[in-house]
Amino acid sequence: MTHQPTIRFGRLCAALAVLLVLPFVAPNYVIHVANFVLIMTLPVIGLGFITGFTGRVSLSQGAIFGVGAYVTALLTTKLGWSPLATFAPAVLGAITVGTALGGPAMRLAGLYFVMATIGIQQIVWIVLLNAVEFTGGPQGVRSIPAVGVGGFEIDSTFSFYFLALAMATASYMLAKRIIASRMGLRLRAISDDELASSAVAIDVTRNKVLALVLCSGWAGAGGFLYAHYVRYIHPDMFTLEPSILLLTMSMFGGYRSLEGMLVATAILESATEYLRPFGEFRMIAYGMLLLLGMMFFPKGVLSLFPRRSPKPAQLVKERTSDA
Amino acid sequence: METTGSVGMLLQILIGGIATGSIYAVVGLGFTLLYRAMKMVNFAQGHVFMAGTFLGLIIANRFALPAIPLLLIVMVLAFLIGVVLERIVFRRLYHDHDVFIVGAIGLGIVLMNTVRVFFPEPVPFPKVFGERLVEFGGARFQEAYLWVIGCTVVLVALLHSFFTYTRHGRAMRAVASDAEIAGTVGVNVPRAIAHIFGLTFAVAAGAGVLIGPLYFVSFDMGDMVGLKAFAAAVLGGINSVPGTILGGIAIGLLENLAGTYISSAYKDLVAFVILLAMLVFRPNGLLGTSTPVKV
Amino acid sequence: MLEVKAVSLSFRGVRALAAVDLQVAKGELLGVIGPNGSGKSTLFNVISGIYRPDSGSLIFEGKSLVGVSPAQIVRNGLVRTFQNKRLFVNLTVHENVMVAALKAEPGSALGDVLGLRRSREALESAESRARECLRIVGLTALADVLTKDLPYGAQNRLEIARALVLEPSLLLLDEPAAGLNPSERTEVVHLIRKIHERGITIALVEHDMRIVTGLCSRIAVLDHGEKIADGAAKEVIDDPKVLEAYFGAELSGAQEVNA
Repeated sequence: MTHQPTIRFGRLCAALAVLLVLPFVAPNYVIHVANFVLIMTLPVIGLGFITGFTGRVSLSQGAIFGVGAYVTALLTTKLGWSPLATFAPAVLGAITVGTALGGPAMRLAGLYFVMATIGIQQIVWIVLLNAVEFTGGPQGVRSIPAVGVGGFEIDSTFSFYFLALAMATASYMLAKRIIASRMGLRLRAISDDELASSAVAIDVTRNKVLALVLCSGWAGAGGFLYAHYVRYIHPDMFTLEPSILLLTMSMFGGYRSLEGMLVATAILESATEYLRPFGEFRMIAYGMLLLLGMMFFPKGVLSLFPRRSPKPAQLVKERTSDA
Repeated sequence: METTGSVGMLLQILIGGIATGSIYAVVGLGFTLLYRAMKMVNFAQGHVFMAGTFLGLIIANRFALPAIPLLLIVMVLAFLIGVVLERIVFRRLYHDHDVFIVGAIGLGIVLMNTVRVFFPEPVPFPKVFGERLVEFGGARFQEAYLWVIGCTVVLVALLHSFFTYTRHGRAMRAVASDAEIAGTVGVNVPRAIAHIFGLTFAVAAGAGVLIGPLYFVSFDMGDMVGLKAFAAAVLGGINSVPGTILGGIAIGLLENLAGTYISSAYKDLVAFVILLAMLVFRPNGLLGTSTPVKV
Repeated sequence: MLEVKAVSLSFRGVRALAAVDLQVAKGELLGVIGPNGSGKSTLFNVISGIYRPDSGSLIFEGKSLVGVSPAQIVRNGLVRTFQNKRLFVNLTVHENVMVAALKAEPGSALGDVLGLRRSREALESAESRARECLRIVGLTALADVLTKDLPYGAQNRLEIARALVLEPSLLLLDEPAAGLNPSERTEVVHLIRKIHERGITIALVEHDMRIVTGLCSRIAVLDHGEKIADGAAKEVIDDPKVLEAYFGAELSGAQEVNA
């Protein structure tokens, strides 16, 4: 992501202050939409590690998101687990499916990789749809309980907001730290030049798989949140369509800007929700947005803001060469 | 369809599989043509196929046309639309792989939902290939299946002749293998690219007309067919024309066989498992060739 | 130190390397020359693990390199630079060297994220080694510049700095002076000499004969994938086979007459 990957605490606190006040002043519907935005930031951040870093386009995030949702839904409804206890299994389940299917595909070049992820998306969806004894098939899973924290049930739009905000904020900070770590540096190198990366002793495959683990884990975490908000899930929520939407959000923010992705998610997800009553026209508008966006702003929304980095001419007055 | 005996049933499955396989093959050809020319994949191909079906539906409902003229008209119209879209849309997309992918996906969404506005429910397609039942070796099926297979064979033969024997076709092949060099020997490269796009549209739309009489048609069939055609191209080798055709037929057959003998629910899984397996183990497909990258 | 024995490699029927033998002794500065397409870079690619030879053996410090991954070969101390400068263009100059500097450091990404002391110390150590290598090649002033904005001569030096920080025992330099103007060339020669004086064994592919004869005591010559000469610099450049490879039969004959 940007080559100044430090958390600007001032800005973060300002943003958080605004976000914390929001539920007290905004109407319920706005908070409801905000909840979806916050939920979706998780799979988008995860996807950013694949699109932004290894420079690939993945269309399977919707399915992996669904895996996370289904794991928690099934464990809570069929086995009576407490929701919080299912968080780790949801994330692990998503990571398992995501890496088992996506791992072998990571060594594929860009175009073939997209194709493979489409295959993964469809396979997972078909299985979710047809493994009726296991997943409930097209009926889905109903009556998913709300998350309970110490006796308090998070079952209202208002209370859920704070849970979602907490997770989104934690995700943002964690992602920032990962990008600033040696792994972030290595992933950026890999996305520039894989061959050169191996020539500087970077284990390319291992790092790519780790990126995939992060991507899938975050998708699973998002799925967990989603299941305990909407409380009823079925396979058609996890088709190619949401995968496309998630991809758009991660690309529209500019490939490597975490902040850009969050802004793009906020805009696109709220647009998706607000326009929901308009059915086909909403999707036509979405499609046009994608198409026109790619035609005229291929580098993402934040490419409109120039990056500040020093140019050689300013720095070199005379060449210094050490004897 | 009533049948007598298991041989008859097997034959029916085979014919049905080859017919749907031909559809996948023809749509897959669109992918292959574009990939050979521009090393890009048009993810809207499946929706173009679907749009072709509905275009054919609208025309056939208005003017009671026999099959072949309908097919030709739809293909010519699709060709023209493809050329126009190349000029105003695709030209701005194919400078970058990912941009092209996402842009084409957007186009596909627009196509699908525009059709959805007018046709929210599945509708039947006029039986332009006739309604007779054919009896053959104990199997009974609609003659439409034979028409589909026949038209596919003719179409592939025509395309092959076009690319091999006509000057324009050879020019397009030149552009496909190296646009820069083709330009220096006087080929009008932008026009050839436009025509290649037009051809992929024509081919997809034509397949749409072919499939119409076989099933009910609906706005969302583009997704599945497109993806399976794509799997067909990958199976056979995305830069190999005969490979794609074989791939399509193979998938059609395997699907039908799996659907009947294993489980109809998981029928769709066949194509995608094949796709994933091919990509991981043999991305160049069964008949494709790879080009080594210079370090 | 490095022993290449009877290494052959073909690409789809085209022979790139044919039974090449080469030895690099510890501490020497070997030149590898040959006309375009003679297989010099291919040889480097084979040695550094990018290509697997069809036959032959590659022994580095007693251990075979065949089938070993490029990253592992680097960890063993065999480093190479690239003829067409494979730098990380969207990283800064400093980051390019830093990512290589991390090779030898303990700690992990998880440690970085959690802020563990071991990781922090490792990062600091990598930082200072990176800065030192930038100082040696003279790029300290440009450390925060994005690599894609670097002028060509600076890119060459960055490639070398990045190779240096990997602490090689054997360094393969693939045309380090390509595309440089005369004063930049002199600097690169100076730099290579400095690196050699630090005790690093070097094998150098270069087209510029003056650089090769100025730096190298021993030269190997490749032509059409075969080694046609190998010996002291002065003898090799007068060898009629070498002249023929570069200039063709008639001219080398003329050379004989005049000599």
